[in-house]
Amino acid sequence: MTKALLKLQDVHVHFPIPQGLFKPPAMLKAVDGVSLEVEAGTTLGVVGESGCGKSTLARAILGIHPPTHGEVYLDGQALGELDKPAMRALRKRMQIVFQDPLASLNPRMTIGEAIAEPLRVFFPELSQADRKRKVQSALDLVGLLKNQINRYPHEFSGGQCQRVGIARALVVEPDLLLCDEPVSALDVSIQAQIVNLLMDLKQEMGLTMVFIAHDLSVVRHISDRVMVMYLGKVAEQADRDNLYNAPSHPYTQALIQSVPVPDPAVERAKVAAPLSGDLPSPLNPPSGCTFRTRCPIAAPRCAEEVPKLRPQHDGTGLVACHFAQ
Amino acid sequence: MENILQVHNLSVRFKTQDGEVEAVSGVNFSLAKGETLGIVGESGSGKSQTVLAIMGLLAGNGQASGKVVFQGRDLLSMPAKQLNQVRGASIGMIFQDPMTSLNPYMRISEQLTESLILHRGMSKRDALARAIEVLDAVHIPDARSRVHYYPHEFSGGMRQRVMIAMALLCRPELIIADEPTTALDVTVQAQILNLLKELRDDFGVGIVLITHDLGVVAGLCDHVMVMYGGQVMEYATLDQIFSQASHPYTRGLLRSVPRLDDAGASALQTIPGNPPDLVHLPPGCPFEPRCSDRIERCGKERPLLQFGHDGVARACHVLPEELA
Repeated sequence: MTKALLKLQDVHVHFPIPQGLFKPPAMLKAVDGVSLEVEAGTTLGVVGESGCGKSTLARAILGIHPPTHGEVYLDGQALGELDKPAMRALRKRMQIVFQDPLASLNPRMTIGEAIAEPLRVFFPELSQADRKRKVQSALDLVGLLKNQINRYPHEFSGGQCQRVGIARALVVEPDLLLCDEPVSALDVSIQAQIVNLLMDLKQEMGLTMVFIAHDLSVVRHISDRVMVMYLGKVAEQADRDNLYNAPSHPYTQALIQSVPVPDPAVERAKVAAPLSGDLPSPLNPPSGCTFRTRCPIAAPRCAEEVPKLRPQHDGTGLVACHFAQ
Repeated sequence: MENILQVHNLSVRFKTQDGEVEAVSGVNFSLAKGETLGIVGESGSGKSQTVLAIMGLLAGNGQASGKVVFQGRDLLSMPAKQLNQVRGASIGMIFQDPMTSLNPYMRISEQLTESLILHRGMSKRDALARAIEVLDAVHIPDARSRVHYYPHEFSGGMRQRVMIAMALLCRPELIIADEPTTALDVTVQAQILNLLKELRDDFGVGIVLITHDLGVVAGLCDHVMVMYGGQVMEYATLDQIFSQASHPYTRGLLRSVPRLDDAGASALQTIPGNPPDLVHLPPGCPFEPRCSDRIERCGKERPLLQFGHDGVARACHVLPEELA
């Protein structure tokens, strides 16, 4: 087994929500005890519906919202123990690509300046000529033309802006790339271009990726291992094919069944929506298993006892359900 | 089958600072009673502007031309007052984002009864009873008390149900749904799609569904119209589109979708290039710069939409059997 580049141990991110002047604040448990390991050179897909804590998880890894409990390790180094300069030095090894490509670029910076900015921050010793060379090779890497270096973000389409976002993340040659819904704002034909680009770059640069998305089809395509989250907790974690071919958790099963497949024969065969009801309020989650209010196989035990993650698929997977086979 | 909606040569032009933009160009289609038509396309393909023009809801700088015949009358040439009556009485519209389409300051009960009192002249009491009835029809539990809620008291999926209820109030013949499930989570999306199927089967309403998700189309539609750069590229039945797409763009679109039931292949097929800039559309086929089947004629001459003997309409200079 190769070494884990990224390791999370029992990470919690809780936000206090004010309830009024004389009441104690309620705790919103956005991420509630997540442990995971990502081996170097592999991709972990994180899926879940809105409010399941997948974006907060990415922010916790980067230290934007430091974990309120638990620890994040990069290459064996605990991030919580680092002081500011040391954290900054380590940050250049982790970069992120955001969902909305246009909103994450400064409209008053040319894309050349935008891509050079992380170099200025992390490698101030670089000469101007070296910096320019690195920016140009980053542009080349993501399939943009060198003569576009002085253009502004508004002159580009959404797909091209996302390429700039990727160039900006990769120009400092990170080890770990976090992608937070990088293709969900893009059109189908452009989405495929960006997914292919990310997969090629991962190969070429030996990147380790955490790919967060709500689209299960895209995640299946790009990931080696997949983690399913529900209300801040891990429902299931397994190797890609095991998870999609033989999902153990009732929530994973329902998620997979809910995805519309572009094939009329498959869609006609579907009868009813697999899940009824909506996500419960994360401020006041159900007792025991948080999924039990929508679970088709819930039993009295589920209301009393929080299911622990237990091994599945010959020990390569993990599932948090009392009744999963 | 009786057609409830016929669109003839519909075009939409916008006056912008960059010059005049033709967002929709020469769209033709008809919709039978109880039929569901899916309009598919990427951003800027003109799919939303097509239905906004049908509803007379274009922005101030937009101008529609052509004919939209609904219940035997042309909606485009109708004075606003009459148009309001037709829309209120027989056409329902469902938008993408329910939170921005509902008034946050008004209780659901007021928003639902408003149009009944205005268009149908119902008493407040009857209108409220009808509002509760439609909330029941869209499976909102405990409708009798929830009808008095404000929009923020509902979840996203429930709000979309309220929107659908609102569209159903006047027992419309036609529902236009613009990306009705795009803002929803996948498990909730499955619920809303089922609801739309149920309404179509129970009430026999015609639905025009706009979406970018080919999976949604596969589950709900009878006919599919594929648009690109403001023009119709292909129009065919659902099965024809999915099993024997005859336009290069439709084929490219179908190939570039990653499928959940498909074990991860090495690379997705893509359509190279970027969507067209409507201000500077090429003189020929809008898809020509990205098309792998293009011939010389495609760059010069715009292909017209032509119906074949199998009912498939396509706008392409290259014959289906000659496509790669």
